[in-house]
Amino acid sequence: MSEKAGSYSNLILPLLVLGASGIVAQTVLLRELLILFAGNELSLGIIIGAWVACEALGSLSAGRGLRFARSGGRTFVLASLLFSLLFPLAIYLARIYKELAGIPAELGVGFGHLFAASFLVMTSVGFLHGFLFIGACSLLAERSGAAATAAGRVYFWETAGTVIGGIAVSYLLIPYLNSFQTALLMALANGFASLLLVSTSAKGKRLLPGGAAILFSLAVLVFLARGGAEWLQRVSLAGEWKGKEVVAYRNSFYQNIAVVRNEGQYTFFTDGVPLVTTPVPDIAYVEEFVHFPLLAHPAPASVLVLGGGAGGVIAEILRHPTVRRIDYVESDPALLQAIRDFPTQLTTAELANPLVHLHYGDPRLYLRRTALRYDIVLLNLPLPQTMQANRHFTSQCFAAIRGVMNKGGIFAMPVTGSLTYYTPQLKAVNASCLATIAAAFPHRLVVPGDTNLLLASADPRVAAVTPQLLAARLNDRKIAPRLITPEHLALRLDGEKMEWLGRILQGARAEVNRDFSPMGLYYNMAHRTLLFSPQLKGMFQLAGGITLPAAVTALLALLLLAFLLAARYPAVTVPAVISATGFSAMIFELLLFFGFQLLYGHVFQLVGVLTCAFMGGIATGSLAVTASMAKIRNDRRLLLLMECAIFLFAVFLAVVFKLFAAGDSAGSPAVYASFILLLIAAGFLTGMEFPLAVRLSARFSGDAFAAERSSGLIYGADLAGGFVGGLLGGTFLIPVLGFTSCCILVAVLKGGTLLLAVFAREA
Amino acid sequence: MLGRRDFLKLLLFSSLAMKAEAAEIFRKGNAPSREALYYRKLESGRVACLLCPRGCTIAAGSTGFCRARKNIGGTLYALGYAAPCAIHLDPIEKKPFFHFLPKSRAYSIASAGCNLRCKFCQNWEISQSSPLDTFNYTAPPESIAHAAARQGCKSIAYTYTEPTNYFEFMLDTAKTGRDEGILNVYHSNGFINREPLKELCRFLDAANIDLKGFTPAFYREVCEGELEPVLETLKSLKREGVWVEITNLVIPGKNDDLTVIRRMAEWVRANLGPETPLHFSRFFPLYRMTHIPPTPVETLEKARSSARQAGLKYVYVGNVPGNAGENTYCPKCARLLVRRSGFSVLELQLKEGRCPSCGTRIHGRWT
Repeated sequence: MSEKAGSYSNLILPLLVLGASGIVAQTVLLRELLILFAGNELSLGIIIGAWVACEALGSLSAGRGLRFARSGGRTFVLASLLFSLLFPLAIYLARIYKELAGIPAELGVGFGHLFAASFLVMTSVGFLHGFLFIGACSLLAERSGAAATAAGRVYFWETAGTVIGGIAVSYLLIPYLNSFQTALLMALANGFASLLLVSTSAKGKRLLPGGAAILFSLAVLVFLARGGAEWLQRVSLAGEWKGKEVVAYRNSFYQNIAVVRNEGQYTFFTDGVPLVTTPVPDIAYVEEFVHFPLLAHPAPASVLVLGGGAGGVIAEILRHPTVRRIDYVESDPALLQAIRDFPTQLTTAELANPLVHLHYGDPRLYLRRTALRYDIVLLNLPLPQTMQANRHFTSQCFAAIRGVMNKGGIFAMPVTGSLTYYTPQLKAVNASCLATIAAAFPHRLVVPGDTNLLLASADPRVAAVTPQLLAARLNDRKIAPRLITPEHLALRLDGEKMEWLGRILQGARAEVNRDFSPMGLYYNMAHRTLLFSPQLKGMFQLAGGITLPAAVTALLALLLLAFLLAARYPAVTVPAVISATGFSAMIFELLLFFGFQLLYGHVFQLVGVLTCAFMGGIATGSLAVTASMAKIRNDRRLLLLMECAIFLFAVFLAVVFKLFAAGDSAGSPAVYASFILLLIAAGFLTGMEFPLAVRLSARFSGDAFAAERSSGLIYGADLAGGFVGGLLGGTFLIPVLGFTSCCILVAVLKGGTLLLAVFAREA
Repeated sequence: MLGRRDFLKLLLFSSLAMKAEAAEIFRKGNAPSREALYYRKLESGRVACLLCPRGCTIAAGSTGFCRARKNIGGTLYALGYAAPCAIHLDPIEKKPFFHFLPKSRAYSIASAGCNLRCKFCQNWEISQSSPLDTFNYTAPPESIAHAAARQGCKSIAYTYTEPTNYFEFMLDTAKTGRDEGILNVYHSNGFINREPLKELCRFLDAANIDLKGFTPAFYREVCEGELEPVLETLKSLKREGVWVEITNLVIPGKNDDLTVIRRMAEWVRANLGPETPLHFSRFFPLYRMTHIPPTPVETLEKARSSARQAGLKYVYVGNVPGNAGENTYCPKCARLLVRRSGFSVLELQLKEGRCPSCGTRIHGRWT
């Protein structure tokens, strides 16, 4: 070997690039797929799960091959270049997936296609990324001459790259570059990293990988310089938005925003779904949403609009001569900028009106900070499909809304409804919203419609409004909307319809939607699932009934199976423990992310900091153990200690969330710091196990040379556990069980694997 | 089935009370049924449904494409007979009928199922479902007619889903309605065979047919249906003396080509007469068609203008409250005759079905 044995410094940059490439590809492709699926928590889980599953497959297959070292890095370099080539192709595939699958561009797609597209798009890059990770372990083992610690060192540097890449993609790449520019920049980074790697290889092995890396980097440079990324962007968008004139397409920190022009009409899409249409909005929606609550109030002077004000709502509020001030809170400045960039008479009049005060930021933060009090509060956000969105529909949020209202003030929000028929899922959505509002407001009125309008107040008069009263106020205020007439008011407040809906909702059983027990999110996901994947109805119904004892029973059955398997096949023990750790890590991460979003949704940008904290924790944990590997005498005892620590951490976290749920601790710097610390701790505890598990698995499998080979297996088991955790956590476990119960479930799991590690026999 | 005593009790109640009494009696797997009309028994226990142009051959134990007709032991049953999943009192303008009993209320019913698969269906929860899966009321045809009369409704509307799927229920209800002096109207996709339609027409007073597009490709790709049978239905209805109005939901990029719209209007004028009201409705993202903008109002106005140029006298714009295209104007002197907003009629200035200015007869049934 002519390579510098004992030193692996020339591998550090390629490892950092490998980590960065992974997180950049994952983030960019996730966002591309979310445009295709108008994502919810389940689709997020499936997309990320697809990545993780493919990565696990890649690492497993590389673990079997182990040809990296013998080829002097050639396989690694070629795989890196292939990854770089396939990344932009995957973006292109995501954009033209509907065309490939024969689905009209106008249609949303169901879970069958979600699975197919996620795997189609993620397979190649995810697989290669997992493959490269194990390739790096093999190379590092050879160059450093320390096979036992190679996996831990790669884990550390790759994770460090992930942290750097995560920050770069969130704050630099996505806001300023299009997806193809980002992918090509990463290709360049990979090309240069490959050159560096080749330069330290044995002379006879440099020609092919070196030539390929040089040619590849030059080709990417020329392609970028000649506007290739922009060309790809144009061509792929034409395929994605078939037949539509896309006049703007940009990524904000929060979402993708596209503006489509047609016959003088502008439609503003967020993540592929239309949100605002100008200059003629959905007149029925905006008029009913605004005029019912404003007419129900004897003299509304101050109005707070939480989301969705521009594009009709503010214009309707301004018709009321009593209104003196409108505060409009919008969380994504880029959306309002897009609306400003394509002005119409409607939006210009709304946004330039001196009565209108714009506030960019989080609605809940605004509720907490404002000293103003309002006669009317309008919540105009789509019903939640994600944890992040759910925080505006919880009892805690409604209580905050009540806190900013004047005496006699009225709160209004729309909820998907029907004038024809209610499925059990739709009943649950409405009943849960009503029950949640009831926790904050003693008096309520539901105006039935295809969109139900919920009015709530501390004042009993809201529930007693009549069409005649509203018509009289309409007349007094000399307002002449297009739809709202005395006849229409009578139609919408028709006694028969109200009685019918009241009876339907009375019979529905639904729980209150709370910050740390987000059942409302679950009901919405179950209802939306009916649209595209009615075959999953049963699964959602079943999962909706999960209780903590039932989940624990199922888990104990699984653990029993693991015990039986481990007794028969000792090699199963360590992968089983590690997959449980992967699952736990994912649940910890989700809980802490969601918990942070609940309390600090206004600092959405800081999600990058959270990722860094967690990944940094993993890297540090992995490095700490790797660095002391030589000193560790009793691997098994250390593993037991680590298992014990994860178990105790889960219990501790359960107590923490119980405390958070009990009080309003949002905004406190101490709480903020505690989230960061908890994420670091969660990462550290789970990261520590990986290098140890790789070495320990050799003992359990009885194969003295298994350390290298088992890297792939252990990495795959870790990722597989994470996949299951990601899929089940955000979709079912956290919404249905709530935060505290999820922690208890993880504690039971890790308690079980702790016992497994205690009693399992070695080969 | 409902006992005699229960039935009599139902009759005593108003519609509201009836619904309270009859609510959600039947659950999944327990919808009542009766033997279907229009089918043929085949060998091996299979049956051929002859109700709609789809012509399903249904194996024993299976349901047809519409999910509302099931082969049980070699006999075809119409599921959901006397078991509507929806009963409501609606303004007739909601159907929409603009030239038929304005300002009246229609006793509106539906049973689950549909023989098309439109990706933009408004009532997908029940149209893309089976009567076996919905919560249904118990409402025999007699009770529907009595309740409609008691509620002061001038008509019974078969609507929300595709009424062809509950053909037997509709037919029997229409007969009893006719006996009670109640008119029968339906809102349909028009995808029905000629023979059953002919039988239905004996009791049908008005029909609003969704002419979803005017190209076979649109029907095939967006609705999983065919255009030609719908056009045949329209001609049959006209021939049989049923009052016909047409609704065309204009979807951007799918069926908004003005030359095609012009051809459609010309076809309507030539085959159904210039007096046939045509409603162009604004589309909003719905059901599975979510990644698409709403229809620009300009497109609807151009479509209306084009159809009027083609010779149609009454062309409307729907789902755009406050638009002049919601109103009825005299085709001769252009006087505003009926002013509408949404489903409300704000002014009705006809005198015995004629324009008060020039005396021109305005087509339709006004009282």
